[in-house]
Amino acid sequence: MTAAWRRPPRRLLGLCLALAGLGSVLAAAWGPPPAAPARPLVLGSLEEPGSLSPLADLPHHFPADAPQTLLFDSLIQYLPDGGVGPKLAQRWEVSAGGRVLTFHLTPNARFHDGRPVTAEDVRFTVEAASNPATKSSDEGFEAVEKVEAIGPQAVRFTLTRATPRFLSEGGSRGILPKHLLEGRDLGRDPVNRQPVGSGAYRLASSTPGQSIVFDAVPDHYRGSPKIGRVVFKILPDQNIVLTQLRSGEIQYALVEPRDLPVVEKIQGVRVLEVPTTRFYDITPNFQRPYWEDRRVREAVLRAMDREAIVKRLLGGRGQVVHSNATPASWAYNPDVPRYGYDPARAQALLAEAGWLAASDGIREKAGQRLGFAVMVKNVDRTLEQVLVVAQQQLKQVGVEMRIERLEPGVFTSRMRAGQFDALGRIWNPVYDPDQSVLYRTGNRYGGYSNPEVDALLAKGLTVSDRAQRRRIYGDIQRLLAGDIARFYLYTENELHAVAADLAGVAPHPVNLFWNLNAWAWGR
Amino acid sequence: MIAFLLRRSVELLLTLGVLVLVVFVVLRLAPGGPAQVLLGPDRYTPALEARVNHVLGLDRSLPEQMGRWVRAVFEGELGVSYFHRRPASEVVLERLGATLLLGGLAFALSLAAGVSVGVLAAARQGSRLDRLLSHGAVAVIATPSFWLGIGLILLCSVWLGILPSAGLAPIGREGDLGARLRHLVLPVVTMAASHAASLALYTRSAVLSVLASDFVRTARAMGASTRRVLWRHTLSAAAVPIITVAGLTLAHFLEGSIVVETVFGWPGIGQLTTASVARRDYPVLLVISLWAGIVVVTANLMADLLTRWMDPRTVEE
Amino acid sequence: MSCYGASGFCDIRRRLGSRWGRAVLGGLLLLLTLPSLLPLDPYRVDLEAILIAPDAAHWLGTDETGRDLLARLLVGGRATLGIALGATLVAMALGTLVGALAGYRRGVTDALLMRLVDFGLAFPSLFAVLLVASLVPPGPVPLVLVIGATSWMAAARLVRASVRQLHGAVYTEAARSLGASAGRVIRRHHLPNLAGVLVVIGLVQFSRSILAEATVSFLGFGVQPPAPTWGNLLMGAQTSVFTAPWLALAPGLAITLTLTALASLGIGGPPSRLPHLVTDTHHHAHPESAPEDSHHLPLRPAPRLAAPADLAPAAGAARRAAG
Repeated sequence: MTAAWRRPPRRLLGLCLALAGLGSVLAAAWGPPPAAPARPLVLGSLEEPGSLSPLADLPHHFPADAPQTLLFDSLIQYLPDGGVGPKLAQRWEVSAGGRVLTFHLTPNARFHDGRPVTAEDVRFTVEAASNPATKSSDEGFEAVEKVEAIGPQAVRFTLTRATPRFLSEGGSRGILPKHLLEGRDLGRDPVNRQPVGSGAYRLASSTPGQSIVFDAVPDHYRGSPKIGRVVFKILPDQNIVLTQLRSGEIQYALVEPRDLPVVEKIQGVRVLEVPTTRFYDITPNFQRPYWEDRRVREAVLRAMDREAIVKRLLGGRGQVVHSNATPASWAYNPDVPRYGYDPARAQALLAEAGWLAASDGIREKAGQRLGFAVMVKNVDRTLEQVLVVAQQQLKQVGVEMRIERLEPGVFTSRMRAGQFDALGRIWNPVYDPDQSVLYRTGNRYGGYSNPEVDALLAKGLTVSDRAQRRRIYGDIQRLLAGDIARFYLYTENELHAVAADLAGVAPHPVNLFWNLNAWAWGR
Repeated sequence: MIAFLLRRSVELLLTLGVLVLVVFVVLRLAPGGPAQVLLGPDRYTPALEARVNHVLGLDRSLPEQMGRWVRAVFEGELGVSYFHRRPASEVVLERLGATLLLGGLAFALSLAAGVSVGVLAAARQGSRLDRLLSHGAVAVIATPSFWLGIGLILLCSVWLGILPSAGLAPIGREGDLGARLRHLVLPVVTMAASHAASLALYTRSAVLSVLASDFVRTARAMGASTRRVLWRHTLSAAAVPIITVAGLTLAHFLEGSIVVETVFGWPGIGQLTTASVARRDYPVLLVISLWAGIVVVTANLMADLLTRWMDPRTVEE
Repeated sequence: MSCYGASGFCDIRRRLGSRWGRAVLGGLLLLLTLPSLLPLDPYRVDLEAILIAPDAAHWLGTDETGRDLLARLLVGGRATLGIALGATLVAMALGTLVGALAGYRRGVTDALLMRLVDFGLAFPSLFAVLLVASLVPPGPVPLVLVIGATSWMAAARLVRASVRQLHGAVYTEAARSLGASAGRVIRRHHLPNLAGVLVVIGLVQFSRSILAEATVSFLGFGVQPPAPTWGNLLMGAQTSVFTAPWLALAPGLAITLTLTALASLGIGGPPSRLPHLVTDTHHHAHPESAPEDSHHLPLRPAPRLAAPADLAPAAGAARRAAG
């Protein structure tokens, strides 16, 4: 009897434990979820933002730039009309002909750990960005000769030459906390995973490849954000993005024109169409003999029906550009020479230039076929489709355009080395209309050269008056269009799918999240 | 046995060494280095590129770079990712968990489903069930996994709404085990499907061929029941090649599936690989290839050990 | 349709000659040659006909630039099948060479070559593809070479296994003892058997290569658009699954149906590794003790020496194993 009793309890005990364990697992799994915080804003993103450090070189588009906008405040705020407003710097003075800028910081600006933002932090950030050992981008700070903290809240920049780009570009760089980062290896420190800035949001948590969660900073010096939590959700497939927009799991996503039929049917989501400063063009390599003849360039431009392409391929969500600026830029000049679709004229021009059609329809001159290869990055899907259409239209006037899709790394290296007939890519002037590096004599982007343009480019950088600069860049646009320095194609409007009950969203040519701390739920 | 293990360990190291060497050389030869990617085309000048290359140590000779890397590895330092600005090993490790979870579960599912379906089909050879299973398996193998994945999402997530479409877990409820389990269903099924189907076909043929062999006929002639014959004799005989295939399958899963990860937004190392190639993020690629090499060789080794244990006749000469 | 795998090599060859087999092969041949004969234009864009669902004018619909999907599917099929064929030939050539050398030479050559095979298997194939793509502009020729170079190992192992089996076959010993030279033995007795094996491996390899091309082009490292292949048609369709499902359905179905048809010939080999072929690492059997289970090939006796059934290695070994 006793012997028989000794065994069952152990087995029984084991069985009970197993059942209990199973039961608790099941209860935890299907029990009520923990209380959710006040409604978060979930952004759907195709890519992972990459580095969260303001020192990194990241492209100026969603989602790469958005997390830094949330975490790190910069000296100034670039405004939708191209102007510049206060942020960390409440006011500033320009002197010595534009070579010296003194910024006075907002006294109650604080980092997420509560410490105040001081001039030393600005100096530290600029020096770190310019130090090659940190492998940073010195964008905006290229002209800085010296930066000094002349008071706890005052910082003075001395530039090697006066340039109006410094204020908008350098002023838009996020400021790092010196007290946390001094002496650390900024190229590889864990601080890059636990960034501390002075922005309206701080990093709450991040799950690599999945999501990044930002929580609002209470008592922020620019006003506390009304949306308490912002989540970046990484969804690498656009189909999933659309699915989650539909189910409401995300309340924001960038969409393409082809997604519009689906997105427009989603209840509770509206589409915000925002013109940008970005545009696409085909850059010819002027070393190639056939590009030297302006008639050939004009013929190529006239052979492409850019209006129809924008209307059909982009669904009208964008427009043709005729020079190196888009309507979203404050320096845009609509009054430039335009070369509309005119295949007959294109053919006449080519014939006049001595290119005559051979048996297969492609023109020839002195035994040379009129053909070129245009390089395009394999991630630029829309541009590629545009080029496919252009290819057919060019064939009809007897020009053979071959499309070479290249991996971004290969594309860049061949562009560097000048090994191309033509390249198709996007250009984004971002904060300033100046594109000297692309058009100056001696440039490594096709080799276009015009002394008149050179003079204007130089002048544009020495002047700071907005109206004057607008005239100068307007002239440059006119000249570039007249010279057919590029085959300017189109600008795409950004299509933001946003939850309909999200208020406060205001279009901005560079970064939609510029005023995120003013967004709120509710009509 | 010891000699066998020793020899295999040497082979492992040798394979890893050559693998890393090849990857190193190829990466350096590829046009467009990290400097160009890091600087971005608009800020590029040859002087800046030279500066960046110097900082990254890329201007030294190839053998010297390799030597430095190998030495660093022995010190436990596997390089820093250019893009993420963090140690490469950290970048890979944080995504490895997701890949292991997905790959491990998919492997278990494909093994269980594949073997059972194969045995079932073999046991009912010639019947309609057998034909259905065999044809079904062939159709599954023939379906590209992207297609299968999207189809499942359309079916279960969009139309039926019973399963989530992407990600590891719902945001904000990462600890919710039930939700995590639900998020696992579709990716695991998609990943396991093709391998399960081929394993089923293979198991079926292996079991059939063993069933037809003499010793089974003998056993049955001696009165053993069908089921006993199946489970005791057949499976153990057929197990050897099945185990070998399973080993290769496991290695394949653990290398990370780009397609499944992309379609389901699963943050594993498959996506990291393609992104890193595009970014020329050498340190991360080297760590990933180390991992891949280790996984493959280890999986093979385990399969070999298992088969040796199960069938001593397969000992190598 | 009950013949999948090792036990049915004879069945497979029979099936190839059957009506269904001939129909399948004929269909493949048609897919390879027809597009060149028809007046198809897979490149013609039509801005007025963007993303049209299948209708009378466009049987399979159109894509984002108005190109006819049927034309692209047919021309793409020719490309995919052509690449798969090329890759198969490369893999078979390499594999046969390595396998035969290893099988006949033995010793150090054999060990070295088998280590090469192991290395080839250990090297992650996707990695190889990505690395090649970053070195060389992607296109059909690099693709053929890369797929061939990452899949020859299976053929090598199987050829080696068959060669060793052939070596150990009774009729080989008999022929040698009767004074036949090594070359003669190889030519008259081994080659016919090997040929049969190679046909089977080749067909499996063909299936695998189709899937490999589809995967690689899908990931963007294969043939570049606008030239169509089934793989890059799938890639282009990825973003339009909800808005234009026909773009993904057509190439996906094409791949599935083709592979299913091939598999119906009894070549239902798995896409990752051919299972039978890996068994030989564990069966480094002595020439005399021919493999005891039928995971190896049931060899037909050489035509000259009509060996009686009970000399066939498989049956005899099975008896030995049963004891």
